Amino acid sequence: MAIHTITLGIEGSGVSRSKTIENTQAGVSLIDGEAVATGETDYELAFDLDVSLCKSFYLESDQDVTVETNAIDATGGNTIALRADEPYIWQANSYEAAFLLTEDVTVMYITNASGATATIYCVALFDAVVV
Amino acid sequence: MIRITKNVLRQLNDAAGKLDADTGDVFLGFIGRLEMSDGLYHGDVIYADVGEDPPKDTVSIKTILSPAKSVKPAKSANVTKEI
Repeated sequence: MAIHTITLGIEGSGVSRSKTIENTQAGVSLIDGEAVATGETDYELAFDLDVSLCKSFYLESDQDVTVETNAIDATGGNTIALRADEPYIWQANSYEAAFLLTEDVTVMYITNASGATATIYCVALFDAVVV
Repeated sequence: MIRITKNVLRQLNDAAGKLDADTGDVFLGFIGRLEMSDGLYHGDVIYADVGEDPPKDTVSIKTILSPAKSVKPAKSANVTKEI
């Protein structure tokens, strides 16, 4: 089993709070620090996810990039304009119920026009159904 | 700041490192990001001065950035002309 610990918090206005949310599931999909050079259009990254089984999702880049799933124009997939150092985090009990990925993912395409090499991290935890 | 489609971004990426015939500078590339509000890449084109060893390949960034020429609609077959 794999465990995801998501940390949420606030620092400022005299308040310092931090809470963790833990998810434990059997399935993991991972992109572990893939470098995508600036000037790359539709750089392909292997990534598989059945979104209906996803319980926890984390996507990060240290540069502004576009993430498209399933096709280079996101046909049958989704598009995320991912901002530098602002990870997209979702978990099954998020207050924002809608997961940005509405279609099962078979592959990711990264477009980087940031002017610097981007490093991409993505990790998804999912309920691995054993039939 | 310019706004371009992904197809134009792809052409600009291919043109990186070439001599821009319009400006005489070396085209380095486009720097920007996708804006979900309009689905376009917002950013700027970046140039460098030509050094002592200019690139042999040339390109026209102006042409790449020019919007596609509008096509005149075909004349209708049943146009009524008032006399």
